[in-house]
Amino acid sequence: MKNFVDDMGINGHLTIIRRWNTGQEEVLLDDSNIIVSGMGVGLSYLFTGSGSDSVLDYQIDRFQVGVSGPPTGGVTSSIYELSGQLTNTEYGAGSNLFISVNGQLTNGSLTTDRAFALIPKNKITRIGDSSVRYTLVLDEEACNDLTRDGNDANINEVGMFMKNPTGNTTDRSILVCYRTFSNIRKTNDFSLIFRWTLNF
Amino acid sequence: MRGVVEIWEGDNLLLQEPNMLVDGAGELLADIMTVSPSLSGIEDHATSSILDASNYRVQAISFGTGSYYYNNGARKLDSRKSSLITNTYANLLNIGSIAIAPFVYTPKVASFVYYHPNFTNSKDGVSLRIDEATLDQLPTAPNPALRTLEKNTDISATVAGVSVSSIFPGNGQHCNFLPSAIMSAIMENTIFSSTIEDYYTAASLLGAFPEGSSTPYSNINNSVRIYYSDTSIKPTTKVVGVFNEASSMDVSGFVTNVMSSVPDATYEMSSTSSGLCLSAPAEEAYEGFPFVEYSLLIGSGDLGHVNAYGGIYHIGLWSIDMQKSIQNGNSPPFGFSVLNNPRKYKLFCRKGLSKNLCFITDDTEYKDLTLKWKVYFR
Repeated sequence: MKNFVDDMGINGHLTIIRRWNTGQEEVLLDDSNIIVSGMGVGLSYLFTGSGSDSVLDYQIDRFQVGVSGPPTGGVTSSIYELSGQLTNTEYGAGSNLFISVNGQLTNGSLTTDRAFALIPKNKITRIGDSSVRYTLVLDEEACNDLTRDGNDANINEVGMFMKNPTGNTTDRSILVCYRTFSNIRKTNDFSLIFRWTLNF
Repeated sequence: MRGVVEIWEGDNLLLQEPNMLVDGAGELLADIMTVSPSLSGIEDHATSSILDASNYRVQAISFGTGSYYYNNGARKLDSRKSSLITNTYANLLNIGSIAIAPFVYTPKVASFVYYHPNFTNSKDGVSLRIDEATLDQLPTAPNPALRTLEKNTDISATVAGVSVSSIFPGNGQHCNFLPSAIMSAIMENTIFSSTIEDYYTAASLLGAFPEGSSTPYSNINNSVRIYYSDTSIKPTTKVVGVFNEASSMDVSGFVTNVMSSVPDATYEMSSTSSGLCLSAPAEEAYEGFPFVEYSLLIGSGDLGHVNAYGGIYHIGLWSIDMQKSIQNGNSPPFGFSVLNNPRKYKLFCRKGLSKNLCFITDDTEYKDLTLKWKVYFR
């Protein structure tokens, strides 16, 4: 049996753009994404009236980028976390990103102290009756020259999260959509723009 | 598969079929994702209440039938019926001992009653003559773009020289004009209130659900409901409904959601006769709920009565349409009201039936049905 998300035909499309400091832009990826099971989990709290009393907690308002995609088991709708999500400091102290460190619902358990970059409200735009566009920006100062265990770590996965569907006093976010892509070595020569459209 | 609709008669499962999520569901989710957080900072309670999650859940259920029946069955007004109504009401008023009540036209041998053995909830009734529905009598085909349960539901009948639909345009589903309190409030100050015949005739055409057992018409012998068969006028036994007894249905035909056990496991599950109930399996820690179940009891009286109005071919679940509710001058939180409901609804998902849910072979043996509508999240 299909689940609610499948039935609704919720799908997404991600365009990744590299914008050089000169203003020149190039499209690195223009493809669909995966809506993961966390979308259904979050909405189940809403529709049963058992989660947060505020609709804001069901909004997709944060994202992560990671350096270890794709996941070992392949890209499926059962993904619940990024394989190598960045830490608070890896997002870059000089960037314009606002980082929230809070819990994350991960496959039936709670993982604490995960770092999320918040999506500014003016970057969440309704572009149709049932379509919403999220524009995620890693500016020139964000996520640069990452290394892990002494080796270069390249950005190759991104995910967006529902804020806090259980309504806990501190946010407990859940992954709702995910995409891997070819390695990008982020430097301060360019910013990365993720233009992510979800069709509900 | 898009969720599952089940119809039960006691422990007997009569129907189990998938439903259809419509475009309104996608729009609701887009509403959720884009509502402005800045509203939370506004002191005004009504404004900040826009952010209450209950405004974005399924809040009502309704029933409808095919377009054909909005001008046939009990909604048909021909010269013979007009004459009978006029004469009968005159007689009723003269003798003063019979209820003044809406005049429900129900051909007992009805061509619109479509036979289906699964919907036969009689014990051992003898089947009446059954004609299959013709193509023009079938409801509109399933379409995710639909905003209402059915298209073209205006009633063309004219009462007091005025088209009924010019005062009360069709809203795509069975309405609830018959209970005395609703009828008097809604008809007041319309042209139909000028004479008692017009008053009741208009209400009887609009239909479609009977009054509750404790809210009868005010005159003596108020249990009488007058039926118009092919050959005669025939008083029948009292027919009462569950929806109007519980005051759970508004004048537009929406049965509202009622408190349920899901938000707090210490609450008892509400009776399904009190409105649309919500339930779910126990929460799996940090994994939410596998499905949510909406359940509702459709009373035998409701089934029998609405069958005169074309039966039930459509069922819909509705969420609140925030924009329309506010545009109509209402402020959240939106309470439910039978007469002047501040809640305007948006169709969330629907179920089309190819067979009339109200069909029965013996109209003295209607039984309650329980509807269970599950929406799966994983």
